[in-house]
Amino acid sequence: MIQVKDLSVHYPDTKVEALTDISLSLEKGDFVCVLGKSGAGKSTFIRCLNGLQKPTGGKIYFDGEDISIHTEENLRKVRRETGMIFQHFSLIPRLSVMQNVLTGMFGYRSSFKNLIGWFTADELALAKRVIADVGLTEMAYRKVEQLSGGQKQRVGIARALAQQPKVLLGDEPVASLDPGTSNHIFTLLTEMHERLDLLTIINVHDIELAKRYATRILALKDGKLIFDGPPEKFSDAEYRQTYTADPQPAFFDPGI
Amino acid sequence: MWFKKSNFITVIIVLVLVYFSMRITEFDLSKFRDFRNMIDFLSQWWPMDFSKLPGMVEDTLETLAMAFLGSVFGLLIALPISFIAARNTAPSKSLFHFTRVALSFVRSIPEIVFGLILLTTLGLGPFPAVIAIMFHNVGVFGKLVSELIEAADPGPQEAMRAVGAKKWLANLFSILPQIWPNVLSQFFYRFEVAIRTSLILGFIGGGGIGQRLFNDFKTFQYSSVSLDVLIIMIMVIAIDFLASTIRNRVI
Repeated sequence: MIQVKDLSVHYPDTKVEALTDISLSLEKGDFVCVLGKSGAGKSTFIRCLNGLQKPTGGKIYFDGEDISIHTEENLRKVRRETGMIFQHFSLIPRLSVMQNVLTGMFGYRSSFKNLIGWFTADELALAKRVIADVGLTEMAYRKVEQLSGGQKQRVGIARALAQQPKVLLGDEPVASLDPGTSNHIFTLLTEMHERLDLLTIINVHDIELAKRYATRILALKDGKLIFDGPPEKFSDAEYRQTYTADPQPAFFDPGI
Repeated sequence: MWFKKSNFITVIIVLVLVYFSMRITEFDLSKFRDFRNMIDFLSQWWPMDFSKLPGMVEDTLETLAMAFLGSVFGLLIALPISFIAARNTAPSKSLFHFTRVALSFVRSIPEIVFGLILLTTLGLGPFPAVIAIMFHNVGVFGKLVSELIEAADPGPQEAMRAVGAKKWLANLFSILPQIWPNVLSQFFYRFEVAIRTSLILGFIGGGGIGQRLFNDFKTFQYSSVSLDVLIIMIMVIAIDFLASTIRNRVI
């Protein structure tokens, strides 16, 4: 589904190497959790997969097509098949749940129809169905500001589902939610993942969530891929390697 | 403890500026000694002369229409321009700089100058005044709205790009709902300013209650002047009230 070859990203203004030579292959059916400390490159990695972040080196193939060279306009085809959910939900304020979900279909429709808000009966039915899938039927015509954090993320998921995606990306989708709600969101994501036979790739901080729901774990450290395998193989040693700071060099002078 | 040396220097600079400004403007409170003059003058304003009330109401509506059209057209023209004049939505850097400069150029020309030019070339009446107000408002709205666009939350913009929407549509849908209440506030403020501006433009032949006030004043019909002033005050207060009602309903 997605092949990543020698992917590198460095930000020219800060001279930070965000990702260095990542190579891997992601297949339909994988539920991937990406682990790593803040600044390890998780977010950059996810963003490269739908072109929100331009790689500075290497290639990304989406269904065999090299998207690392695509322009913003050519990326639209990839993006509309790739749903994405965000840490701060990134919903459009002042619009209703329904309206937000309908914007998920924008990539498939003409600009004119999008602008005047003309949707076919099928499209409206799809929107209603995905809102029901995430359990927000009663809230469908509420403005999104009136919803709780967990409900907002459900709208985010519904918007992504309205794209009828092949791939679902999540950039820390539960980082601003409480543990119980995070579990609900992950259960919902797993359910959708299995029903729609998606490739799901999600950044998480919480190792427990990753171990419980993922079928595959990637661990990034300082922009390098240090682990790629099933969750049972992600042992305490790997955990420490991912999350602890580098040991101080021997000649480090603590000062007196 | 509370004051630094630089505070004293600031105070001294301000005092010097105040002194010279008073010299230049011949600021002299002793001129109020002849307070009786003012009482004599203002007593001529009373009683109010209601005989011309229908004409005054008509002129008031003309002023309102001038201000309304000038600000609505100004906003409509400025909205698309604002997206070009905002750093985050501009199609290209050069276009962004060009639009910014063009907007500040338009803004730097006061309405009264536009009014003097247009009233001379297009003839007297409210139409040139509307155009004058509109021009200036394009400049003002262009600046205000493009700053709102730049301050909009980038999250929804990114999300709209991620669903595969065209860039201009993604920007429009993710930004406009966010900034709309603020745009509306700015609009009502500019509408209020446009009412005052159209009064001034009336003085130079732009029609409306401003022109009537000016004519009544110049022909010493002070009992009409007082009613003109009263009507203007009622109009401004009414608009202020209406604006805050609408704003509260939107927000």
